[in-house]
Amino acid sequence: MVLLEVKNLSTHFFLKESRVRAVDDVCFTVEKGKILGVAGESGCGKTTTALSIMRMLPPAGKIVKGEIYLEGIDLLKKNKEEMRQTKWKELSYIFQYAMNAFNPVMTVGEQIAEVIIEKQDTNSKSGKKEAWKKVKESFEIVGLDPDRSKNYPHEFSGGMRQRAIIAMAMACDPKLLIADEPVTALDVIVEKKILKLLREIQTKYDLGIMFITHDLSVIAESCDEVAIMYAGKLVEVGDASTIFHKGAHPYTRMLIRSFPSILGECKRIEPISGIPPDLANPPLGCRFHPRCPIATKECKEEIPPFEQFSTSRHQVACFHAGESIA
Amino acid sequence: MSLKSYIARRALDSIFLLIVTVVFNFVLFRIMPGNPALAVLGRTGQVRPEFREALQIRYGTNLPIWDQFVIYLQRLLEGDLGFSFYYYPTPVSDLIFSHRLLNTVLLMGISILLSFILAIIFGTIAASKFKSKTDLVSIFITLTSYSTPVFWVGMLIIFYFFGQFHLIPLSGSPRLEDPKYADFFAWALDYCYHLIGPVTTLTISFVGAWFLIARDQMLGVFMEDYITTARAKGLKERRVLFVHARKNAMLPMISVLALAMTYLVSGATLTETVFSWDGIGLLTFDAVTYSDYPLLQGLFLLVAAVAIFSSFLADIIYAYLDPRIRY
Amino acid sequence: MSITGAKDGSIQYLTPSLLTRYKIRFNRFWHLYTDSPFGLIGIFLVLLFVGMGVFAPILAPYDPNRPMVGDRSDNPSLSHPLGTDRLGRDIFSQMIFGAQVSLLIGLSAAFISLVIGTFIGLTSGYYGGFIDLLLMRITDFFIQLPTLPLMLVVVSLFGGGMENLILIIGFLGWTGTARIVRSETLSIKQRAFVEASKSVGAGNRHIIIGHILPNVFPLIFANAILGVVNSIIAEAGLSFLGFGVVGSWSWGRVLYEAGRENAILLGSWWHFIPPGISIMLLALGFSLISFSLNEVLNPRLRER
Repeated sequence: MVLLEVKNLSTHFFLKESRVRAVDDVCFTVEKGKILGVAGESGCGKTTTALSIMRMLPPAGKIVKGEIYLEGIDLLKKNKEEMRQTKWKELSYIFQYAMNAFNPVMTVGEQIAEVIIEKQDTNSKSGKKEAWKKVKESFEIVGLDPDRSKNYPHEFSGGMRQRAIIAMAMACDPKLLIADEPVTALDVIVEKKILKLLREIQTKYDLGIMFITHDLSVIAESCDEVAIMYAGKLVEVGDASTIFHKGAHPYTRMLIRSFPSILGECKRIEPISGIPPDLANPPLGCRFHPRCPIATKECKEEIPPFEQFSTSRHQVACFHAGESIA
Repeated sequence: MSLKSYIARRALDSIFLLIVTVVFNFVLFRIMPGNPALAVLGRTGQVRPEFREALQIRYGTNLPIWDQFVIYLQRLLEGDLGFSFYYYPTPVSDLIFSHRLLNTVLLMGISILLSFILAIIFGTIAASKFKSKTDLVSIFITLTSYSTPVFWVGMLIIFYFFGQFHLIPLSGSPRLEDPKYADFFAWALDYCYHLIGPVTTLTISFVGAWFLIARDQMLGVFMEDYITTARAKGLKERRVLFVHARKNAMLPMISVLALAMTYLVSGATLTETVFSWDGIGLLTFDAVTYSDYPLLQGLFLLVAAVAIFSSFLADIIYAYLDPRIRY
Repeated sequence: MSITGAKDGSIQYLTPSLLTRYKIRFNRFWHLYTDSPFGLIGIFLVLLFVGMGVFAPILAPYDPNRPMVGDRSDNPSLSHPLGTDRLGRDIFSQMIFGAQVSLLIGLSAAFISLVIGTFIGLTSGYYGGFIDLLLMRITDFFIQLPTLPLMLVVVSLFGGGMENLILIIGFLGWTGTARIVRSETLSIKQRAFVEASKSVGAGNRHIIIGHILPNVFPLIFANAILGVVNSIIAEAGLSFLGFGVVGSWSWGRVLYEAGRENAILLGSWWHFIPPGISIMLLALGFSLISFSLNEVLNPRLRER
């Protein structure tokens, strides 16, 4: 069942003299109970896509086109107040900078309780008690000592803080969770634990997760589906195994090749040469063509359509999808 | 360093500064041209030599400078600030610690509190609408207020609100001892009535100075990640601003308040002059006008002591309030 | 980044590109500076009064000091646009000449503060340790002291007059600059190019003058302009209380005379409203410039 559907989303940043096409014509869906991993180099528009869904873009950013359906309701049609009420109740967000996500002068429990109270219908005293009960419960779910909810953020370790953030994200039983680089700042062992925790919670609550990361190994480990972005465009979407084994877009393949594999044979890592384009003046045609080894004249002139490729859930935007890249 | 040893170090610093101030205070008023006693004699014109001598002995100016310093210290420790030239023979301490100090503390206290609250509210609103029309307009207004001499604001207020609309009294500060007041409340009411003009003047001037600081602090806090989180949580904007942001932005404002604590006793010379508010500011003006050095010395010492103490206090409060600070 | 490259003969060939680089930097600066209209309004206001001060002898219809016996305490008229004072002196001419004194005192006092503040800030930030502790305690103390009463005391000791006023306002206004220069120095001291310079054996003086000063200068400049505002306001206050310049006319002195003549109660607005507005507009001009510069240069704001 489709939980989130993003249709033809374009988000541009309007600077004084230029317009940066940070996200251009992006379509994808997140299924209920599935994890969609969104991958790509930094600056490719992953976070902007996520912030567009939250409607939390910085002032210069504007959604110029598209629809975002959460359980069939277009979030972009909601007014500010409706959107505010939707946030956290229906969709919550884990930010990149986990370490500073908590206010240093308030206790962790307070910050979780306040959002539960905010989203409750009643505002009575019992509501406050109820909220604190839920705080303790959520602490237990993420494997934290409930008594620690009275502590200040700086008294938590990095891993504990990340757990507390997940507890906060789950506090109001959302349907969709957007996690923006949730494990990037953590060391490998803690990272493993947190990923496991996310998986557990996701199965337990039948949650849909949009998981943003630049780290393909994290995606391989934890995601059901993968979306690859390049320079503000979606280049390929599909099942995790399809993408990793039968990736059809040259960028996808090169991206996978540029990551070391522990299980496979020892291969030389091949970095992708060149740099991502300037999104204020993106190249004509396929945005990847200046760096693509198999680009042809067609690629330089026309934008490749985003089409179904091998299976029904596998879509690629490339004229030469599936061709070998030497 | 623990909080305790931090306090101890700051206390030592403060005591050192206090000693420097006492010495400075003594030296500053000895390096002025001529003999301090001549000032009072100059005012009385031709005097008999016996009287001149008596005065010199009274002020100790006939003694060597080192002895003068020792006497100055001894008297200071006894709380004796000497005698005023102008209001002779009233002791300086009686002049300062009187209705004047009360008048000034009340006037400054109310103005500072009001301005502080206003500056924080406006600063928060402006910062939350960074670079919007509201923000730019409030910056322009406060820069204008910062650029306007406070006494001229007072003049305008008298001109319009007394002269044209008859909303406020001209000037003065009612005294409880005045027989025209039937009881305490009659006095209090009239006192408040007389406060309107100077309080408005000072508030305009203080808000002009503090608004930008408050806005700047708020902007800094708004860049913090936890504010983004609070917004993502779908909290009401009011809660984001006044619970999540304010608490953090308030910390640096403590030093602003510490600065203001000094004004609490120093008064506002210009405003008090314009409104004939009988406070420490006006007393300072008189002391300067009449070259009343003992009085100036006493005033300077009081203000400096409060300045040192409030900066000490601010540092301690700061260290105590922010759980992250480790010295 | 550093300017010293241009002085060094061995890399002389860099000079032309350095010039273009400054051009580019200036263009970028100007672009940011004009982001809000404030900066331009500020420049306009300041130039307006600079023009008024420079051309005062031409613009003023009368000698501001010459009493005209027949025209005592006149209301505004065609011959005296702002009337005359009780000695029959033309107020409009006093206003025009006032621009000279306000600008002169404002600029020179701010310059003195700038030099002292920069010296103390650089020394404190660069050397650190005990010197830093001592200098900053003193600075904090001076920040805490109410400025105007202190100025009054010093004026009463040393007397008024233009030179004394400039010196006193300048010598008591350095604290803010010192603080800012110190914190900037502290951060620049840590940067790689200073380390590099040290590692090749450059002396402290060379590092301070060649590396740190050029980098803190923009911020010093923005702060100095705020110093001009403070000095103009301080001069107005001192003059209003009767401790200002004697021979020449400043707007503060015009207000002092207006106060002595009871202009407020008599309702002669022409005597006290124009000088007040002039002080306000000139100070506002400098404030706006300083604000806009700060928006561009302040490292804390730069990231936004």
